[in-house]
Amino acid sequence: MTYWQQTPWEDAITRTGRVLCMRYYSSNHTNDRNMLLNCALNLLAESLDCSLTVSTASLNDVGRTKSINSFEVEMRNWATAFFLYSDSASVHFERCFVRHEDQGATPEFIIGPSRLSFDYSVTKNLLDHSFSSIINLTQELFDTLQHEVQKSILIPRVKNHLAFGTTKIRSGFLDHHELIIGLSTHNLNNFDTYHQGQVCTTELLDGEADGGKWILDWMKNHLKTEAIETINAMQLSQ
Amino acid sequence: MPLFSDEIRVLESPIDVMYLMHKAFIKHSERTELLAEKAQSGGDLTNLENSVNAWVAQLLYHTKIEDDHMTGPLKDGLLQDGRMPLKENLIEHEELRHQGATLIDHLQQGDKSSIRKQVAASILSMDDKDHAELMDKIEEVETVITQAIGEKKVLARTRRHLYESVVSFKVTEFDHFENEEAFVLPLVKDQMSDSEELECVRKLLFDDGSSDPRWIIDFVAEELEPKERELLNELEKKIQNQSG
Repeated sequence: MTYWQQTPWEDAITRTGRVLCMRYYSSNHTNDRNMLLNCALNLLAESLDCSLTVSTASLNDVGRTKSINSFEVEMRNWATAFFLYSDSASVHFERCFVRHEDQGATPEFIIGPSRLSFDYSVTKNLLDHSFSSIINLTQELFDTLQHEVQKSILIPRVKNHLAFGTTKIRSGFLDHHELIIGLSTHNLNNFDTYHQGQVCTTELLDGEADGGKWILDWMKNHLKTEAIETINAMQLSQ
Repeated sequence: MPLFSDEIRVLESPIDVMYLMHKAFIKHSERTELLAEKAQSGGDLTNLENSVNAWVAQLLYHTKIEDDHMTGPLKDGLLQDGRMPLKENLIEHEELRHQGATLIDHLQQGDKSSIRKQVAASILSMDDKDHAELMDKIEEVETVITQAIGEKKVLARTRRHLYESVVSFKVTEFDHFENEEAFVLPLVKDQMSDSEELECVRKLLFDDGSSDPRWIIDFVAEELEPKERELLNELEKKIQNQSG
């Protein structure tokens, strides 16, 4: 049985309503390229990126100050956080860029300030493909852990494969995130509207059984001080 | 079989020079990987470019000489799992050449946006029915992403992919060296005489077709520990004696 059968990603991408946005920014901010750095999607992305970087570097410590099991736990946590990220990404995509006029009708892209238009299904395909390629890379990594690590001993060859595995996941994930950002900023007005009043934050936290405690704690472990303060402030306001 | 990080204290047979050569190549590739990792934060690529060029040049020469003068004359064996070491070795050399070429190609592109290429690659791996439809949209997707994420991130993306290529090349090289040491070197020792090995080693260390025939041995020597360098010097003397 694969790890993913326990948490089917097909369900994860179709679920909606769980987006975390830590702050509302005025439309002045939405014109800033860094605007999304203050959105939950970006904070999650930053945490996921940082987590992979740290885990990759820590492979050098396996057998000294760290066990291969703790690396595996880190990667399982990463995968769980990635599912939450993909929920958020999916909701951002749907809410900000797609018009659902009639129930059952094919959703259409809203024409944004850039006047670019996309076919919904084509773009959704691209995003889904990008998402599933990350899932495949992650599955490969767990396969390597399962089949190539013997008796918890990490030989250099396998360490290389694991490090290359996390490097590929990181690269694929950041590409995916940029794709989401690229498509998300297509319609700034909608994006701005969507993020008013911390609606997405509330949705994410309400959607979690523990009120979002696990994911927020996990993010705090990987973010820098400024971002952690943002999360703390948001938690207090809740 | 020593680890690449172990100190090599003795060469039991001339072809054991491969341990020294592989160790030197691995040291160089690890250093190149660090340069590529740092390059992800920006900065000039000259050092990385020089390092990659030297690395690929060494491996291209090394694999060609092995194919022509080391594994070429040998009779293949059969491993318990059905694989044939010499055949596998040739396949691995091909893979190294392919990845080396990809790496050089990446570097030659510089910091040009490679978003279109990446989007196209992802489209090509999808179902056939989606290809034509999606290919028409590449330019639009590329424009949107480039505008949205800004030039700085486009650069970071290019550098990230360059780093990934470097790591991939290093991992392939490492696996190949280990396989070669475990499965091919025993065949060389079994089937070649000492003087044949020595002639093969001469070709591996000295480029007869170059105006600077020592470019390989000098590269290897530079990466070794002092005692390992002494082993290389002793071997060079043996080669000179045989040739002279």
